Amino acid sequence: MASRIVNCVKCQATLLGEGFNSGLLQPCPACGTPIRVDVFPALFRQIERGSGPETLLTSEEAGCYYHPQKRAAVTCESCGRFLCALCDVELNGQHLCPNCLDSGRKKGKLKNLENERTLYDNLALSLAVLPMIIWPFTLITAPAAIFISLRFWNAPTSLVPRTKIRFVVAILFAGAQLCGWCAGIYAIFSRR
Amino acid sequence: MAEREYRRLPGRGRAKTGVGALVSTSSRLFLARDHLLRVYSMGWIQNYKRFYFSDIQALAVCKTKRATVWNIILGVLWFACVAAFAYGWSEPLLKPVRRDSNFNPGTWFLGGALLFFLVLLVINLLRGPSCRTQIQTPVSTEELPSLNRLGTALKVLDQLRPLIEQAQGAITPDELPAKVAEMVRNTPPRIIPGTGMPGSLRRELNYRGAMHQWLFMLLLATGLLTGLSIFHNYIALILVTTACVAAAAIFAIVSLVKQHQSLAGKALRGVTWGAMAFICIYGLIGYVNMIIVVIQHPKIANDQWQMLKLMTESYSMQSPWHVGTRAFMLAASSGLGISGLLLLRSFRRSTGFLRPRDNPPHDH
Repeated sequence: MASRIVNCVKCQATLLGEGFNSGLLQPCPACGTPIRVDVFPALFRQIERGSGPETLLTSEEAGCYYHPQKRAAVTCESCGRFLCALCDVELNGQHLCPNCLDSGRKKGKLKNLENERTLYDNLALSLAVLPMIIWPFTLITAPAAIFISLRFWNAPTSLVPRTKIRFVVAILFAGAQLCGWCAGIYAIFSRR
Repeated sequence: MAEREYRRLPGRGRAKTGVGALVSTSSRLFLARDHLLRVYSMGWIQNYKRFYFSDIQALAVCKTKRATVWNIILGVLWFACVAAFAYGWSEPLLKPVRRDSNFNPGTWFLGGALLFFLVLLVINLLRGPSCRTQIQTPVSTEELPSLNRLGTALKVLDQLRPLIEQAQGAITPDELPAKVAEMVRNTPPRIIPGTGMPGSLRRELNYRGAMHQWLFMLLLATGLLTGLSIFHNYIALILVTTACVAAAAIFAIVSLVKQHQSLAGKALRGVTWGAMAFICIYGLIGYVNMIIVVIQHPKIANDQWQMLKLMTESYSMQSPWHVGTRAFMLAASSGLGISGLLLLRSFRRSTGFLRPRDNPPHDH
């Protein structure tokens, strides 16, 4: 794979290196927009092609679990299966087979492959706060907010640092709404 | 643990994603030991994208005019509130609701709006100039929406640079030009679609300025009609002038779109934007005049024709507001129309778009 050239952010003109890594805003030669570009050795690095699997020559050699005719190069560090060079997936210094990679991603064991999470604390807070606009809905959403807060209290929320304050606020708001409903219902029945 | 793994970087932005770019997504950047994490948050879903330091090819920051545009918009809105407040204070228009009270809802509303726009303006000024930041890897070029202010973006770039150089090594200033030249030589040029021409420029090469021509001619016509209306104040004249401005608004929008990727110069682009600003101010002046008439004659608020008649009749050469606004409209529309047409002619001449009959024959 060849290197990729650097283009102006605004007009996409090819930038020819003037002012690269200077730390200053230089005008783009095409559109004149002030632009700062920092380039690194990866820009000029040619990406090497991966090595292909070797054919099994003798019966004494171990063969790949997925390609029995190919010689095994490594073992999967998760399940122990023999893998050829084609099946070997290297991730953070670990050698994994495609199945373990896929199952690790789905079960959330491989955090480096995780690219989406549900924020249950935001969901609980939304259920506790937003329905107050149309307050009759809070009869349903307040218990739902409390349930979600308690059910997912210990569930992993976000990859980045995050406190449980949203859960706490959701429980407080939902609790206040339920108290209000109880007081209202009691007042209605006590008048009768 | 997550708390020790990621450190939040300064900056917060919004990335437009979703159907028709209607859904706005909040974006933040976090720093890990060996990679940069871009987080998109939309409601209760978070999306992550990792950029490993060993893979980052380039970081680019480009200054934009978005902050300046917002400064102008907020400034105009704030000034309009100040003008309306001052006018209402001087004229007995903002009357108390009840006789035994000094409470005046109009004053409170205008005062609140004035303060609101002032706060937004100050915040925008303090945040500094705006920019766009991109990160390039071997497989893609991605936006970093959280780095949307120049000061923040440069600060973050200065933090990231040593970390990336630690992972990849540094390029000396001596070897950089040669490496870039070799890379450009070895990379096949992109072809502009539909033209067969090589190059990375995305330009619409065949736009000759027809929309701009209509825009500037309508502005000239507006100037002439406004000049006439100073001395002969007829409803028909006001209606025709308004129709010209409405048509100019349509051509202004189309022209702005057409010129975005054309070969039009900075001056022509600036005048087109100025025309758009003038049209917005024209609309604002008309709206203020209508509000004044409605406040003075509340009973005709639902009768558009009576309102128009009263607006025309209320015009007076003794009123500084009326004279000032008419003079501004005359000067601005004429100035923009004439300068726009001259710049358009220059643009056509420089790009070879003039018709053969415009070029005088050469005597051999």
